[in-house]
Amino acid sequence: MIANAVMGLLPKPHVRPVAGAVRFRGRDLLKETEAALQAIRGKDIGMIFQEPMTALNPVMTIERQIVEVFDAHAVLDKSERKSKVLELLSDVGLPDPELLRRSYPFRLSGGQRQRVMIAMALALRPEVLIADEPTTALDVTTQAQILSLICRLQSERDMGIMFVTHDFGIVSDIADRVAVMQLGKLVEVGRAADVLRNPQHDYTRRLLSAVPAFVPKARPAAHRGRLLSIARLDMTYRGKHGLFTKGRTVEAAKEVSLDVRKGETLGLVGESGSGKSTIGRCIVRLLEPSGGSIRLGDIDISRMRGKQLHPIRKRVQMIFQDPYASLNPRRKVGRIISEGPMAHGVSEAEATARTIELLELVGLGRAALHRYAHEFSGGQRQRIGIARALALDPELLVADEPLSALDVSVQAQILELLASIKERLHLAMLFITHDLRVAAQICDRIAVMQRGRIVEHGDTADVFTNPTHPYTRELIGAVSGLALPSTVVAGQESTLAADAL
Amino acid sequence: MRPTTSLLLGAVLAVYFAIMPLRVSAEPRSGGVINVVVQPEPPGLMLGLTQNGPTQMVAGNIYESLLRYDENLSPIQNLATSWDVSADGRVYTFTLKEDVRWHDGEAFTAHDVVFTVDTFLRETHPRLRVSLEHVERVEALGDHRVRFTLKQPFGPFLGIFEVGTMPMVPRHIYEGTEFRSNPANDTPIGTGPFKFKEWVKGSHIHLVRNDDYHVDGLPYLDEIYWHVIPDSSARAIAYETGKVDVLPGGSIETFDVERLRDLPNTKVTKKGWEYFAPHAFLWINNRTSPLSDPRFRRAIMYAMDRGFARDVVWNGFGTVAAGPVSSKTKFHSTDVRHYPYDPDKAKALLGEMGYDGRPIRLLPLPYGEAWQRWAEAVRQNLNEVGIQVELQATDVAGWNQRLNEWDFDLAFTYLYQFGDPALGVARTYVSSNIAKGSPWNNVAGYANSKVDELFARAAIAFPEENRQALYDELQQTVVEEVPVAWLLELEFPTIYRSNINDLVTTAIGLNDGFVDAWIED
Amino acid sequence: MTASSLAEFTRRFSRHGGAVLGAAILFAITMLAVFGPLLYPESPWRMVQKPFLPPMMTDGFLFGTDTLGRNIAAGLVHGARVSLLIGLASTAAALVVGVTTGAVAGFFGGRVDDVLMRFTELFQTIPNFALAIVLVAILQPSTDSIVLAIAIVSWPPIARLVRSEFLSLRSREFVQASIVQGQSSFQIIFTQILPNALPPVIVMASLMVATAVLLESSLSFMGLGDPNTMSWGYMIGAGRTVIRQAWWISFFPGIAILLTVLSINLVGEGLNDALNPRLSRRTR
Repeated sequence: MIANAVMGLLPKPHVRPVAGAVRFRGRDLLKETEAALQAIRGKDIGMIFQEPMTALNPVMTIERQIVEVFDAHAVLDKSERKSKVLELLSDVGLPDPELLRRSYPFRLSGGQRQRVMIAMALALRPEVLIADEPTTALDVTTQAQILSLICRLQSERDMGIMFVTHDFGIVSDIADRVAVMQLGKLVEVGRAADVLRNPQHDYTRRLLSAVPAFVPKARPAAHRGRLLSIARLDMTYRGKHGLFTKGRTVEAAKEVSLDVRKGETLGLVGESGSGKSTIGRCIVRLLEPSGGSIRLGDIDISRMRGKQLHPIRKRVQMIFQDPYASLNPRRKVGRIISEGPMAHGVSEAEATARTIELLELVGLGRAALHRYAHEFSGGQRQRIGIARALALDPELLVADEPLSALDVSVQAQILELLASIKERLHLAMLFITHDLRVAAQICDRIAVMQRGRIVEHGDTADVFTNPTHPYTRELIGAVSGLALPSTVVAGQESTLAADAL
Repeated sequence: MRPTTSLLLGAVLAVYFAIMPLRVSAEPRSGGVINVVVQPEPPGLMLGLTQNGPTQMVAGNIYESLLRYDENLSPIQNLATSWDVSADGRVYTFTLKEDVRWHDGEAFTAHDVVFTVDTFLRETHPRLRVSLEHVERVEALGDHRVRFTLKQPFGPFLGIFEVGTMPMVPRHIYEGTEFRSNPANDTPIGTGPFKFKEWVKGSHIHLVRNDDYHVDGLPYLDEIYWHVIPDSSARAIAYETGKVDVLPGGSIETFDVERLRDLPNTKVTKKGWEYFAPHAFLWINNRTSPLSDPRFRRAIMYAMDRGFARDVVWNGFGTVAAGPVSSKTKFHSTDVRHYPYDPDKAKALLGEMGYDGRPIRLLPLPYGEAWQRWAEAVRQNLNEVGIQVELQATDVAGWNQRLNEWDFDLAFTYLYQFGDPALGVARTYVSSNIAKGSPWNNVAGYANSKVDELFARAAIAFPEENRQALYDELQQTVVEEVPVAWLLELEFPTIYRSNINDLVTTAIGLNDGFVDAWIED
Repeated sequence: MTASSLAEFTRRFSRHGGAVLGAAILFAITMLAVFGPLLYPESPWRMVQKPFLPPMMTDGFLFGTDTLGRNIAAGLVHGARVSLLIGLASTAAALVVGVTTGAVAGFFGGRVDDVLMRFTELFQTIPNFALAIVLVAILQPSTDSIVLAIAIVSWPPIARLVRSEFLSLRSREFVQASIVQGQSSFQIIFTQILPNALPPVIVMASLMVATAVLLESSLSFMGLGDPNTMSWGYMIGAGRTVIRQAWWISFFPGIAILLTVLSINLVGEGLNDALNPRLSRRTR
């Protein structure tokens, strides 16, 4: 909001500044006319946005979009613009600028698009850059690259940057000063090192304590039997082929083999496109693999369908990523949870009783039974999702990025909940995530995936302290905020109440 | 008378005569064009082959028969100048007019008559064929006399020499050819007052004066145009805008007649239909229950408010029909049971027979809005005495099919009488005429051997007077049994400009009327 | 639906002034259809007065009489029932076919989707009104055949809409959760996805009622209506030939149709505002 207010991008007439001033070079931007603001935007103050996927115009080439910036401020003639575009593209580290400038956004990856956005924002050498969560939607390795790019450009041009983020790791890596906001109010501001080491305000302390430590605990090796065994799993998507075109094939997973032992938590770690979600979906049979086998105990479930598959489903359940999309907005919470058992022949009364048990287990209480999903916060919804997954008494839980859509403080609570449930119910869990901090917290063993293949696996502590594969090393190196003083040791009680946020 | 008074009187009279236009009987003037509508467009103009209404209306002015008929159905000379009937009523000899020419210049002779009747029409004219069964032979006695010898006396015989029933066709064009595919069919050749000039399909038919017509001085008109206008409102508008001068009976809705008759320069006449005497009635399917019970059929007659239909649906045009024979047709009798509008009597009859409330279907005649309103009115009449009636939606093809197959309960229809019960009425009631495949025969399925016998005897009874008693008995019997429910004697008013005179002077009106018509200034 | 979401719905609906007006008019017409026959208990086919009485000239004949002396006010009231009933029935029938087809096509995709969509396109390529006329003519005009004919020409757009909703909802996580839980396809289609696909379907259905009323009126006007039920379209057609001397016979039923269709369209717009767009989701 603040960032948008500075640039005059608030969604008027619904939201408008009512008090205060934003002074840039002595002029209050809130009082400027639209024409004046237009002159400032891009030239004096640049902005990059969060979603590189949607921030670029899909029907214009890269070159045209950058040239638009020049156009809007009527600088440079045609030939100058062309060369400037190439210069900018190579400045932001993009390969093959000559080819890229003529491409359309859909050909570029997320990281590349973000670089283009940075190029556009910096084209006219503004004095101030506003970056609104520019790396949140990017992979961890890409994030590291973009951050270092921004830092390099900043020092080259001596720019001021206002970097909006929720990630304290980033703060500790790049910020000189930090301002903490809660519910529209500024609660603390100061030098980054000071604030991080000695947070003054209660809220700041709470936020910091919620960041998971990157210290994997050594866990007792669980010498129990194998529950799930995946052998040489392949998942290849074939695009439709027409009469004259061959279908495109995408190998989402190739020759993946791994085991999950009873009672253990196996982490499946990788960036987007690595195939980890695909593996998860194959295990719960939302997808049918194109090759290989998935054995649950002795039974190969990889090719089962229909009636055969139905009873197997009880044994493997999933916790989904987006708590806002994984609960049916038109069903009461009680129904959402009890539908599972009822689909397997349990009577309504029994299922409801079980639902109440589960709601209490996840910390929500029986009042939730008759409410709708939209009445709950993100964290609470994820608890409902967990209760739903547990309703069928599964042997294996597949958690597909269950924390990614949650606030950092809520993440800690959910993580704790998962850990305690696992203990109590002796469940095995396949924990899919891109966040290595989280993986370190909860996983006994880890498998690292890159581009559809498993590149390394082993006990968590081993993999993180002594990574053997170069990619694993790259991943670990890209984790932000390794210098953060961790104030939480895994296992300690969280100071946040379950339904605070 | 005192001098001042007579002076005053004289002055008044002088002024009177000066300002009143002299209305001595006006002299017919030659020349002029008349525009008429014809609807629907006739399928052909060769009257020997096609006898529908529109064809008769147009081609009746191109072709002629031996006689014409006045409004009392008395014969008038035409191609025949005189005729006599033998004492036993079996031999009819006609003397033909001399110096009559076909439109192509050839002479018209008795040989044409023999060919027309014996060969041509026998093959192509079903209605005439029935009458011709009474004929033993036809002979030409020289070029200008024809003799018909009948097997027995046939009462209506002198009434079949009407242009639509027996049009004379040229032997020199048709003898020995395939009549239906003869190319001359496209340019009809007759002896009539008007010659065929042009037919622009979908637009108009153009006839022109026959300068060699066998009556000196006639016709007065130079040309006639028959315009094809498919929509009835458009036809009314065409008259209002002056595009057409004559609207034949039945060409516009009666609702429009009211409006048009009030226009200046407009005359309306109900005459010109005496030969046809369109007779509207409801076919009753005598085969099925409850219609097979005569009490039910009589209940229908009492339940209908036919006066309302005449006044409201037909705007006063029409007469309530008392029975099978129209008041305009010969041998009409009023000495029959009457069925006034009496719903209570209808209810009593239904109660007496124990009508169980089973619904019956009513098929309207799909000929326009007036017929649809009429069907709704009848349905309402019947509902109110407790008969459940369902109106069926239909088009012309559907109506034909249902009647052909006897798939109906009540159905509207109207038929022509052709001047004599033996010609137009018998076919509806004789049991020999019960056969699937036609909507014009004894569709009701009425079979009474006494009635059959009476019709047979009355047709051939001789002399003429003897026929009346037989038809009296017939009408009494049939009206008592109500095989069909008679509705109205329909009137189709002809609307035309007041400066057109002598347009409708015969029993078939416009069909052969243009020969005498003239336009006044 | 909870009480609060109902209040929310009403609030959003009422923001649209035209929709409130439309709802009021529609309510009045529905009341007329339901209770009107108490005011005019006799059959509207009864010939009760002199024909061609102008409106407001005679007591009890507010809108005058027609060509046969039938009470036009009675015809309007009874016609309201016919038009609304036919509109609702044919829409309901179209919805059953359209929703099922679209749901099955959108959910199962692949060959099933292909076949069903080709089938749907078959109906879409034939002009609606012409097909309705042909169907009614073949089946013989009656209330049943009209409802069937209108339903047959109206279902394809619903099928397409439902299919596209299902295609997008199919990949949502809560649907996948249901699959993982082990619910059957039938259950998922009708209890999970369909309730979420309904808002745009409801809006389209309301507009379909208006179209159905218009279609029925057009068919009746042309003489293809059920000859035993008096509908507004019939009244307009019956008054057509005498429109120069008795304008009111066609005029008032025309106004009735205008008001009905207009009010349904306004209500449809209000529903659209109230039900769509859905609550925005937080993006992260």
